[in-house]
Amino acid sequence: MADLKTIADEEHVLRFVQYSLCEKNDAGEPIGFYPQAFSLKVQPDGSLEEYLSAGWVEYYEGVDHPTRVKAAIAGFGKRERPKVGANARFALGNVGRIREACRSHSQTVRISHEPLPNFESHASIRQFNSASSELLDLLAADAWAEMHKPIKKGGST
Amino acid sequence: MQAVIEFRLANEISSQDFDRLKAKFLKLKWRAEEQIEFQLQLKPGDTMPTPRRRVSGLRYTAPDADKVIALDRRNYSTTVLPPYPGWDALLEAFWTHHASWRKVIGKPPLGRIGVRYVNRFDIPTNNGEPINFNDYLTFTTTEPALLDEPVRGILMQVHSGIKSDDLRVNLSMATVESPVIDHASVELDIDLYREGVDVPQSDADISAYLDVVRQRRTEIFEACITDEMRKVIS
Amino acid sequence: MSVNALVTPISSATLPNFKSGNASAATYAVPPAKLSEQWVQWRKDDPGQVLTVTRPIEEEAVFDRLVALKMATADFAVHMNSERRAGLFKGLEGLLDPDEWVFTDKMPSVASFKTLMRMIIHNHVARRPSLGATTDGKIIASWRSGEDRLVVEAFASDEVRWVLSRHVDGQRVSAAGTSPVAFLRTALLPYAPEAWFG
Repeated sequence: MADLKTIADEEHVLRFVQYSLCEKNDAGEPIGFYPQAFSLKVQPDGSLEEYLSAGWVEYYEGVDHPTRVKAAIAGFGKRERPKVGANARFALGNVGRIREACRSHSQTVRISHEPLPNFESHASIRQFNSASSELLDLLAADAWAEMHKPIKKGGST
Repeated sequence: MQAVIEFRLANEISSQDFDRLKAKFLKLKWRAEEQIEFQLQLKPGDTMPTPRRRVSGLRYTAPDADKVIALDRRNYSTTVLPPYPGWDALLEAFWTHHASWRKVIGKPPLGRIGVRYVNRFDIPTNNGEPINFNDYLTFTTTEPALLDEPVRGILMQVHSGIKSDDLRVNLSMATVESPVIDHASVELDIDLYREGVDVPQSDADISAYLDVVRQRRTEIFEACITDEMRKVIS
Repeated sequence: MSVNALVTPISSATLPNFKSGNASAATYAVPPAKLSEQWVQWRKDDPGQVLTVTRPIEEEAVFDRLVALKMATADFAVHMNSERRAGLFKGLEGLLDPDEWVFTDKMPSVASFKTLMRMIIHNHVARRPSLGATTDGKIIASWRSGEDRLVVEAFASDEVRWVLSRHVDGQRVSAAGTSPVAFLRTALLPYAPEAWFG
């Protein structure tokens, strides 16, 4: 594997969370993320994902943080998969807090910029074990819990 | 409780009419299922069987899963699923789509009209302790005293009728696996029908017949359960 | 509905093996790569007949599954009132909205949903949950009381995996476990489940 650029603690990663993995209120509006949104998936061949995928927010140019977040969200919209429904959400997390949450469950994760074809801002969270429901819940409710809406056509969220 | 009204024709409809029914009911945009009939034919001298299949039946489930329409080359039925919406709602569900059926097949003679109610009772148990179904049902079994183990299952069926109404009745009782924990479940299946030459043919006669069926079904049901069961289902 | 291209007679080479009591049957001229019990039910009361769901396109697949899940509530109809049923249906409709569903995910199974139903009824859960689904076909239900949350994932086998967080004197307390449905409320007793279940 080529050397990966480690993402600094003060920077941010953005993870797509489909509606089915969002907690909803009685009106059906997303109000949070389920722990399972941060679980490594089982691949079609039966193997577990090697890493958790996200987008690196600071990859994008921008005058301020909200502008970069918006650019990062727009970056997801350009990809065919996953389909971004209107009720899907993006989970924004501070890299340092994510590392700290994982450390509190005895995991030292590697969060790196690891571009993929058609996903230049891709970040990987490697050495991550999603067997602990409590860690996933901590990420969902705390370290990786800031919720952002998809970009509507016309550019607003 | 699940309830079904079924009309059966005296003779099968043509394949063309069956295809037209399929096209017509597809327009409902309900969940559609086909029943396939398989045959393997092996004639003398054949080294391999010849498989054949045809669509023998159609089933349509409403989007809210409260009604199912089933039809084949002789039968048309409407089932209302639990929770039971009441007799009037059952009738309405039946007649609403029955018109579509008639539009395709016309008015060939009916050979049987049946109404069937399947009631499932979930009786709470005390931490899985056996219960005595005789406490809850009058229509149940009496085993020889020699059988001193708890009863693991019951299946009972009676074929009888009501002469004055020219009604045939199939009455069944069976223990079933309970869908809920710490309950024992039993089904009471009341199937009332008339078949043959005395089956009403006109809409007015059919309606009058269905009113009789409804009344008799209620009487049979009430006669099959005890007050203890009434407490369970109230 | 997409309609099978029914071709008779079928080449015997395309017929799969029948297993007694748990058979599957090809309903296509060319069988799909994978047949599952979701598509075919063997009619035990009428040997030689099978009930099939024709192979639908994606949007129809979620519609079929939604109807199947709603149908599953019929088994529990006497144990829930119409308001609860309506709330459940609303949650399921949102979950299986074809505009939102990610089609590479496995749809929630009827067996998992029935586990959830049994869990709710047996544990006397009065409050309506938020519903979700894992990518491998299990229903998720959650309840919230302020910042405190309980999330339950229902397996097909009458077991649930749960994780909760409560805030006590400003401190976040979390716990997780796996329990048979029958013992869930007991397992949650140290965490005052009435806050979520009512």
